[in-house]
Amino acid sequence: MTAENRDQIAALKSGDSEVWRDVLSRNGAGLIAYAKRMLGDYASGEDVVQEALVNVYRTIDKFDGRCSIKSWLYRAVRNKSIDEIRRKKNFVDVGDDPENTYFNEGDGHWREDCIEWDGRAAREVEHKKMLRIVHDEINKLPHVYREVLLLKEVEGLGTEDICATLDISAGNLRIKIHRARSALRAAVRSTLSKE
Amino acid sequence: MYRKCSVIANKISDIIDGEVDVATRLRFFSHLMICPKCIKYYNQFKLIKQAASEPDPDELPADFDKVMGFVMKEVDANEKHNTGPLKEN
Repeated sequence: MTAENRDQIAALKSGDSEVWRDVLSRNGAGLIAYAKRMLGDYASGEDVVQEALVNVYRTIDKFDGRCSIKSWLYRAVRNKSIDEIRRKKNFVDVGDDPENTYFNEGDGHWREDCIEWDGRAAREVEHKKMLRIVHDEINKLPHVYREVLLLKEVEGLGTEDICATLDISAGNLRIKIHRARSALRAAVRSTLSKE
Repeated sequence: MYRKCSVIANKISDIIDGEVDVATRLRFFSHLMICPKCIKYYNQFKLIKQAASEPDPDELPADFDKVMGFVMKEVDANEKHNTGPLKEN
């Protein structure tokens, strides 16, 4: 931990409003966007972030500085979002990894040709339409996949921050990211094949 | 060079995130040079990553003022009364 971080944490713990305002301003928009997409609705996202941040403020004395403030905030919002998903019974089962069905067990080669949509999609599907499909499909993924993609691709958090937020190892994160992208790719492919 | 397409598929995310060493990259891309199916799969992952990291075209700008106002009200009140979060609990 740097001296600057130590000073910042001490100021937060003492209740320095300017430091709190600065920390919340820098992270607020990202936290709301993350919560909103975890929950799938804007109003609940705001409520969850509000509740999580008040809780962070009230329990800041428990922050030990082993992760960044940013991870601490994301973890608080993530935990509240999961509570809300559970409360609404919106859990979606992850199911089997679609990649398991693509290859022969023996030689490990493709069972059938990988359907081509990358070239077609890049050339023929409007860029905005492709973005719309990808983001729609992210929102439909099971939350265990959605949360890693939101943190990594959308919010742009680094590996260390994501691991601290989700309380998982770097190796576990790499597996989750790969499975999430694989599931997203399968969902996008399915949507494109219907068009 | 990796022989199995299934091994290539497993390494794609690590490759596009730059999480592997040079030797692994060489073995990976040597396979891609001779396997059009894996090239397609690799390109699709790259496209997915790129699209996911671009802003959602229908995303509403986050209005943080309301949330910020709610939290800061408590922070400001405690600072004014010199209690702070530690003395709150």
